[in-house]
Amino acid sequence: MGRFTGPPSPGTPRAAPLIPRKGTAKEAVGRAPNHKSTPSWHHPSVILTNIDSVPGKTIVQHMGLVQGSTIRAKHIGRDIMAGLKNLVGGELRGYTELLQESRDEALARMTDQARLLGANAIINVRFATSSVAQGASEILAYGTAVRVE
Amino acid sequence: MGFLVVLTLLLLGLVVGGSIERNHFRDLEQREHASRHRVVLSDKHCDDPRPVARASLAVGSVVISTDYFKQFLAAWRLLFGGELRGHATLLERARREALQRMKESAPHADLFLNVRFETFMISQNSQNALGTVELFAYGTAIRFVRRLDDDLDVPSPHDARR
Repeated sequence: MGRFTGPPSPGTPRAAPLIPRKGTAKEAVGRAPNHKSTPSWHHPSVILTNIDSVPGKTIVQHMGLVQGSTIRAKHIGRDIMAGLKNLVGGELRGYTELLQESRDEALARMTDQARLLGANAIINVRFATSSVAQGASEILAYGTAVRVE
Repeated sequence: MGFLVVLTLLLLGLVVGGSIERNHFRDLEQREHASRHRVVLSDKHCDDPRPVARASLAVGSVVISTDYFKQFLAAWRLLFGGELRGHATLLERARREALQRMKESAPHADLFLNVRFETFMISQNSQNALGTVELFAYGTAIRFVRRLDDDLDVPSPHDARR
């Protein structure tokens, strides 16, 4: 446990810049994530887990709670298609993508907040979803920002 | 006339909806069989002695709805009580699909820890409040250190010693 110290070697293709890139959370997320590929929010310089540790590393400092949220409304075109699909059942891809995008956005905002604090991992990540209005829902991601070695 | 429309919709739901469901279950069985070696746990810790190369969050989600026929049956059930079988299979499909997508989103992981499900009802109107549901599965994907040429960005202990 905790045997990997130091940043990843610079030559590897997946190593991320440690300096935060310019741009909003939206740019960091990218567009229309495909659930079959690696999630685009995954920023290698911040490790996310939903357990109380980062396996293989040791926590050296706690930075407190970080959170990110987004409120999204349904698209009317998607809603009509979903209504038709409701007759025969099955997956409503438009909604799956919509919720996936919002969750990615919430995670990206949380990750940005953690990086501003100087953290390199977020443990105990949780999600909460609530309907704020008819056809709109809030997605919240929160966790504890920590520094690991 | 209205009766005929409803009857057509019910038949459409029964035939097409039933076939979509059967295909989905068949597809799920294949994919679950293919990834059966990658274990999913709801525990927070595992006692595996191998060193961990990488941990990351894995998520998978699906939005799914029942067909008109099952909604019709459910409406009757709500009058007399009892088990809503149609909705039970809907939630089972959704849960298995979300879990499978979570596993497929982390193809390098050997193990998934602390896997949780969240269910979110997407009600469009009061009539089919149970019709559409989102299932979301998430957990911590763990990859153990490989002896040779680890394809990930984490340096292996063998590299560090050299």
